[in-house]
Amino acid sequence: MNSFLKALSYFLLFFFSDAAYPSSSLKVGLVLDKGGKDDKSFNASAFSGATEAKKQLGIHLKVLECQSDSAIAASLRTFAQHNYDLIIGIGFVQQSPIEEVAKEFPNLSFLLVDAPSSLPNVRSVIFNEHEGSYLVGVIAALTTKTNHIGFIGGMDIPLIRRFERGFRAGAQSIEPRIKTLTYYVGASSDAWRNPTKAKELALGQFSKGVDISFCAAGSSCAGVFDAAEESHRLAIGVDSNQNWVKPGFILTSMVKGVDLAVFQTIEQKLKGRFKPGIIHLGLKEGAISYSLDQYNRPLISAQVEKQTNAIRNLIMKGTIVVPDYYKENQRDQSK
Amino acid sequence: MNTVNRIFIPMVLIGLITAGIIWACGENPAILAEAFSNTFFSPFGLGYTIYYATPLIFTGLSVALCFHAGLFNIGAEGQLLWGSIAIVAVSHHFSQLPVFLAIPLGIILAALAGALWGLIPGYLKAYRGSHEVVVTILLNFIATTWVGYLILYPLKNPNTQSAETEIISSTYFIPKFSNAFSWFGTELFRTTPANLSFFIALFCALLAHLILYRSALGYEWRAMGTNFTAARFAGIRTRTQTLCLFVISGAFAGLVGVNEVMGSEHKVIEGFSPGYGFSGIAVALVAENNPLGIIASAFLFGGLQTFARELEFLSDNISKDISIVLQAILLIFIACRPWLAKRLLKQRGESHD
Amino acid sequence: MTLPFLQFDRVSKNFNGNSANTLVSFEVQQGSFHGIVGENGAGKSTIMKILYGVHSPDSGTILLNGISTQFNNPNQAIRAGIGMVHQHFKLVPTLSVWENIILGHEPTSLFIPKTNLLATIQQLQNDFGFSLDLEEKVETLPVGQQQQVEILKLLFRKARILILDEPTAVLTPQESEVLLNRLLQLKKQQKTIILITHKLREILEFTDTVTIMRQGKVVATESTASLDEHKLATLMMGRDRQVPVTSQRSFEPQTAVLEVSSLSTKSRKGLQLRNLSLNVAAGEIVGIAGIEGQGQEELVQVLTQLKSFSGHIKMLGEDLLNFTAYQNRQRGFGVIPPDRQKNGLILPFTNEYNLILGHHWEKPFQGLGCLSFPHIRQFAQDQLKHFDVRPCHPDLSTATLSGGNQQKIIIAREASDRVRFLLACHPSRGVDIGAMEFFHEHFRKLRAEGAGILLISSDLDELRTLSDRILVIRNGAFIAEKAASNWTLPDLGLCMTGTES
Repeated sequence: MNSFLKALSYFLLFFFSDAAYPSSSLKVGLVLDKGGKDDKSFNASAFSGATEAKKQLGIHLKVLECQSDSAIAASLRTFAQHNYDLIIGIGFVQQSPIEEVAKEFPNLSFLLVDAPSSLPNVRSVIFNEHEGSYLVGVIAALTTKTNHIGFIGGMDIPLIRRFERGFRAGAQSIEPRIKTLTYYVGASSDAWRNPTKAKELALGQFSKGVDISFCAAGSSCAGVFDAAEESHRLAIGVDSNQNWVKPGFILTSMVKGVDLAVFQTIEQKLKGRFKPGIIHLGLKEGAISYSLDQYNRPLISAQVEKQTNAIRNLIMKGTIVVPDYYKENQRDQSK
Repeated sequence: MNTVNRIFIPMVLIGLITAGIIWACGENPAILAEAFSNTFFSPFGLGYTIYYATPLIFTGLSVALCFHAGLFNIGAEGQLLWGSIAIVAVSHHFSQLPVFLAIPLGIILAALAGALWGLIPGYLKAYRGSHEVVVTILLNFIATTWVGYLILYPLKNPNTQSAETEIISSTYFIPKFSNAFSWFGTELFRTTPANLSFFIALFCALLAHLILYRSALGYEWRAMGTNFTAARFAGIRTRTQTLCLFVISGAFAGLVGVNEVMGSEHKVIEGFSPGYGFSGIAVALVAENNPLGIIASAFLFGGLQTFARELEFLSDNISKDISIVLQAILLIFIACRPWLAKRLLKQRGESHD
Repeated sequence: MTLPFLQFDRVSKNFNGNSANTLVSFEVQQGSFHGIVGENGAGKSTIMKILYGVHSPDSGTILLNGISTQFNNPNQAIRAGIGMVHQHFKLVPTLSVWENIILGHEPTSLFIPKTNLLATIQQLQNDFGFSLDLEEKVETLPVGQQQQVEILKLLFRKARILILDEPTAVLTPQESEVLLNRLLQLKKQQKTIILITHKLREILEFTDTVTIMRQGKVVATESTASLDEHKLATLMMGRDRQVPVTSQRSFEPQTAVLEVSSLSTKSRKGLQLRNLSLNVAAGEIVGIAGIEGQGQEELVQVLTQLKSFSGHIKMLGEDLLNFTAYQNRQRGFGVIPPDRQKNGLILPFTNEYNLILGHHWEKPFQGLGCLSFPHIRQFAQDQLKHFDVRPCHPDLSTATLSGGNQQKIIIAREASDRVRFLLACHPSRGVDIGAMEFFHEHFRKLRAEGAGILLISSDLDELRTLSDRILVIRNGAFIAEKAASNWTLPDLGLCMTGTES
């Protein structure tokens, strides 16, 4: 009986004492959503930024992928439990889990990409997607032969409408009579990983005379690229530089510098310069751009490139103000 | 001794196979032991294990109860969706209720919503002769879409772009362990979503056990499941009982919402269930449909989820898919358990007939 | 005398501490017709299942042609030329006759050489005098022919020893006659036949030698010629067999417990009941005779409310449909179903659970929905003792009991003292004489106490000793009715088979 009590008390001791982990180098935890690090898009970009930081800055990096949205908080907490100095969450889905966990662990720092948060230990990065979309809209309008372009969004939410609004405005700035056909894959989060449906939508657009389609739908975009290849039309990629996925059929990609934001935040944390608060990153900061490499070089003429870069400079100077869906629809803006 | 062998030897084998996989992935199998202790012997791991086990107890009971009467309820997934959304709906309409009314009302409505969704296959099976497996599978799709609509439109949280409902009124919150036990000076399972609805699950398991083995009703169900024609001959109203069972099973599944919505998330996130309804089948299978055994087997499967995450955390080459691999290994062992048991017994020279 | 072909040497077998066979020793000669006779639970089936490789013996040996043999499974036994027809057939109903015959013994070629096989089977049929349609689906065959399929199956596997476990239990008298004569034919063709039965007449008329078993032990192995019915019964039961008394009604029937008028059923396929009318009075036993499948099943289904019907049925003074099946049971309606394992019992349940089936909502078995275990246990113990169920354990699974003891559980439940109308279907099918007489005595006692009994049976002796009146059913209609004493056995048989109406 005595030995049993002894064992029990050891057990309880172990149980209620928080395990302490010694921290030597900076420990960074990255939580990806269902897409995983191979989604060729958003998550992949964050992953490459973090790996780059590991290589250059010698930090300790750990990546957790989540099987479902409900596992996000658990993964964030796993890092927090092990006293990770900086915990990074990618995607607006992580907004409420990050806020929840950040409140539980006020001594740790968090980075939230794509959604705002004003907690004292959270830095949140929001990209000016509308600026990049405007630019690819310009390229599309300069390239189209049918004067008819398309947009395929993932989930029908303000974030994606912001893409669409910028894209349309960019195209119309070149050719006011251009027609833009807009489709959304769905209203639920399944829309991010439904390439079959996205492909059907793209084929539909192409059959209606659309010759360039801009896709902002996470993993679903693979379907749009397939459709472009099949119909010999062009698609525009999103988030990462996706030109290499189907060379010759991807006009360009609207690149969101998630990798940059991740890398910079890690660097700042390492040097003790981590600052909470909401940061907007756009063309000016070099965090938003369109991609031009060996894969799409033949598709974009020097003329188009020159004209696009000129417009980019005007936006950076503030001469051109790109319409922002968030500002136009204050009601819908998240917080 | 035999029982120990029957549980213990497969477990050791599973451990060895997993260690082999880990080793093949280029990792040190010793992390298995660390992941195991993090899962079951750390407050954080155990808290999450309890949190994952709670819905599995509910769905396991839902499946097992039907199974005793020879019915196959694959519809727990749809039933739990309705149970969850019902809580948000009731909080939406009665947000000012005091706690002592709000919590029982939420629990009852979650059960009721699940029960109503169970009523459909129950009725179709009992009075129209439809096959319950087909009906429940199809109803899952309908539930997913319909509840998805409710999440995205009428009950949508306007403050976020994620597909989730508004947050329920705080009077509906079921305390987390960490809050509930803070009066005693300890924040039990701190920072984990483990909450008091775990006790509701335990209570339900006990209740199901009593109904099945101690009541005339359970006697009728087991009679139906073992020999349907004889049960009918004995005047048991098999149709009424089929309906009744699906309703009760649905209610159990609906209670998953209590853990998810009232206990932890306080809202319904689209696709929050990683297939609790389907895992419930495996949970019931492992427990051989014994309600008290379901508690243990839900812990096993819940622990597996935590375990997989710990494993992913401790290693560099192992991805989230390890949890699926582990579940598969577990299920293979369970599927061949009768054979395994026979082999073990034969070696000991005790052949049963 | 030749070397014994098959020899059992002190074979013993225990099941969970209950001894099923104790030091069983006897011999079977090649080419003989050997009977094994004994009461239910005497260990007849067990010893044969040991031979067949279903069970392994705890001790003792079996010698085949003087060589010690032990089979681990039936396949090995079949390869050694031993075949067994079980009491419950092991056929696949949806397959045709020839498919069932080759099942488990299919040629290993990619395609089944059907024409060759059919020719082989047909040759077997000719050799042994069978005439089955090989393309027929087994489920459409009458029971007697299904049994022939089982036997053909064994012959196809070149069995030299045929074991038949209670083969006549499910057959009509005519079919039994055909079967036994066919077995005699097989014997003439050098097959060894082992017949398990408890019907003394079959032993005396057909076998050469007989082994008598009682309580797991061999009482005697004798040449049949040296025995008569009385001697055999004495050996088997260990006591003098009572000669059945002729039916005597103790008092005049009064109120009707069952009134059926112009009862008909509709069914798209299969048999319809046509315009049946029937009365059973309190204190009366009415027998229904008929060969299997003439509407008896349907009548039972109608009375137990499992089948819809047109016409009027009053049970215990009230319209049948005014109450649910369950309520009718509470009002004193008992049913001994035709197939005890399929309809009467939940085999994996314990004896006490089976004893309350259908009465489980009654006090004192439950209160407030909770089963009251002490009361159930007490009741079960009383009933098991009263009906002499062996082994007498309330918490033993009913599946472990022998057929006769299983039937006792049903009778204990359905024909309790308070039953006022009893529907008894084949109550003594597959039970030994001792149990049968016990049942009959019980039925007579119920009748004397004022219960009405509708007896459906294929055992004509049973019908004639018990019933006051006997109706003959054929093709869904009653075609004759007479007081039991006015029927002669040949009359009844002819009327059932339709040679005389």
